[in-house]
Amino acid sequence: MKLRELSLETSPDVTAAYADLSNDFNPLHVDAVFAAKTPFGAPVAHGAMALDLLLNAIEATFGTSGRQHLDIRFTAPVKVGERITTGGVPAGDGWSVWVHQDDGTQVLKGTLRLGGPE
Amino acid sequence: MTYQAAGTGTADRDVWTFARFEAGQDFGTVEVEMDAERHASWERIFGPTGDRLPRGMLVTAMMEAYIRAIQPRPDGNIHASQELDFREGAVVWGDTVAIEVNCAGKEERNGRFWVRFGIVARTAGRVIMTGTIRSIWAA
Repeated sequence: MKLRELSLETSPDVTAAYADLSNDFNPLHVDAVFAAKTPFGAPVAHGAMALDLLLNAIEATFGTSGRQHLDIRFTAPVKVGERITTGGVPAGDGWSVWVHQDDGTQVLKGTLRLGGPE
Repeated sequence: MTYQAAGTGTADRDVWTFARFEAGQDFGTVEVEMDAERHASWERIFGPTGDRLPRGMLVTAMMEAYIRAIQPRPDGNIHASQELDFREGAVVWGDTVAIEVNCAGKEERNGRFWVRFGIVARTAGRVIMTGTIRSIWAA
């Protein structure tokens, strides 16, 4: 069994829409002039957008009920314009989950645990 | 959305720098209404949903609360990692989610300013999600 694969194009329009939705107008995401002066060199997509895509994949795989614990870190920046895709496989007593770009670079990775006490 | 009081007593115009954070600081509660406009915005990015609120939308609301509650802030903060615990029970579009934001701790490591922010999200008084945002603060 694998986690459902979902993809998202992080185009400038999508990134701007996510800035509106989250009220996150950090210039790293939406200001090319500012971003060019940072180590990233160009605008990067919101990390939470990749996280949301992963949560959509988790819901598509396991449904929307039940307790879930997710611990992730953002491992590489996503330049605006890249396509990102979710992935995950069972590992230990939970799941290893990730989001990667088309070139294989993992941009988010972590662990998912299902169930557990309230 | 309504914003109920940050608990620090510092002038609103002072930028939140690393030096000002203290474990246990309460940044108040931000209420986010999952209204039709927000629903449409979500679907423009991620596609159609049913009546049930995607858990990702809770995360997006968490980010909105974290950003609105701690202002003004320096440019260039980095969202480095995230822990989330989703509880049983459905949230639907049209509900209002109340999100508490606090400072869970901070640490200077390898010349970087790490700050952890605690999050508790409730609807109708029921906890639906808790989490920790780990950020590298820019200044």
